[in-house]
Amino acid sequence: MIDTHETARRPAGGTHGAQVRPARRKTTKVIVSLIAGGLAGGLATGVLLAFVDRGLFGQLDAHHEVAMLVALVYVVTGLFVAIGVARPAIGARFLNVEDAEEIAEHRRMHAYSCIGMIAIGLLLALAALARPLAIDPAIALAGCAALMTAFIAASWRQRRLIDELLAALSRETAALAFYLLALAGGSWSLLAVLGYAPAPIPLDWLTMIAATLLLAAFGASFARGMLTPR
Amino acid sequence: MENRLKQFRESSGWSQGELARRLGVSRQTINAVETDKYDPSLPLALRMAKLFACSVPEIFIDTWEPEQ
Repeated sequence: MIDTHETARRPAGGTHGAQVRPARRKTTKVIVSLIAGGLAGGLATGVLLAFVDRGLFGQLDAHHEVAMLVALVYVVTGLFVAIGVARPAIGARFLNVEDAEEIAEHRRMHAYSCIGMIAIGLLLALAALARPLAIDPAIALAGCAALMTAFIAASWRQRRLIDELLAALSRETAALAFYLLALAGGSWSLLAVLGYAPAPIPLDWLTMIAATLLLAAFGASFARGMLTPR
Repeated sequence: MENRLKQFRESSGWSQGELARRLGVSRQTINAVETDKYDPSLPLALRMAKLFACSVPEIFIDTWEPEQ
């Protein structure tokens, strides 16, 4: 029960305090993050496209290439988080946290997060490459089932470690992802039904699910100010 | 919703991490509340008020008035 007549402890006029990161360090961190992200993303994309051009993944059409690129984003992002989990001091230089201790405080949660992201990325990549590489469908299915299980298990365990902000963020991400998927997939299907575009193939739906989930996560995080440099 | 959590926290000499630890939430949650990006649940708002020995409306400012 709230006692609204209770005497308040009056807050003093705020100084920013020693815990606030100086603006210069924030700027440096943003630059380091952008360079690291750009380099890793650019390098990974370059390697992937080189492999595709050399035919190492068999004959890939646009559907499969886009799926592989989305899968790559998941895997690279997951690996960045994995570096942060393994070495919080290094992770604090490019992840949006106040300091290394903040990563260490939520190490298990971040670990499950990177397992989930890498599992989705590998699942999408396996789905995209199964036919071009003539992987036995039963083996591909078993691999996809194992990756899906890893994703679900990691998400389930992560649920117990998140606080109310992240729980709210998770709900908002799911809702936004559904709207984005309905907009993108629905519009594309509508155009296909009316004969204005080729119909999306099943792989396109998997790609759209993964891509809209990622976009929604960034959108929801941005709306909550969680992408603001700290 | 506008709030004075940061002022209360600083007057207690606590960092965001220390307040988060005392409330059992993440630093991100404290940061999001302080920057008006997230309105906490009623249980968390009550815990904040209890921790700072004040009432919830002293931390969270609501300008709404009932119609007469």
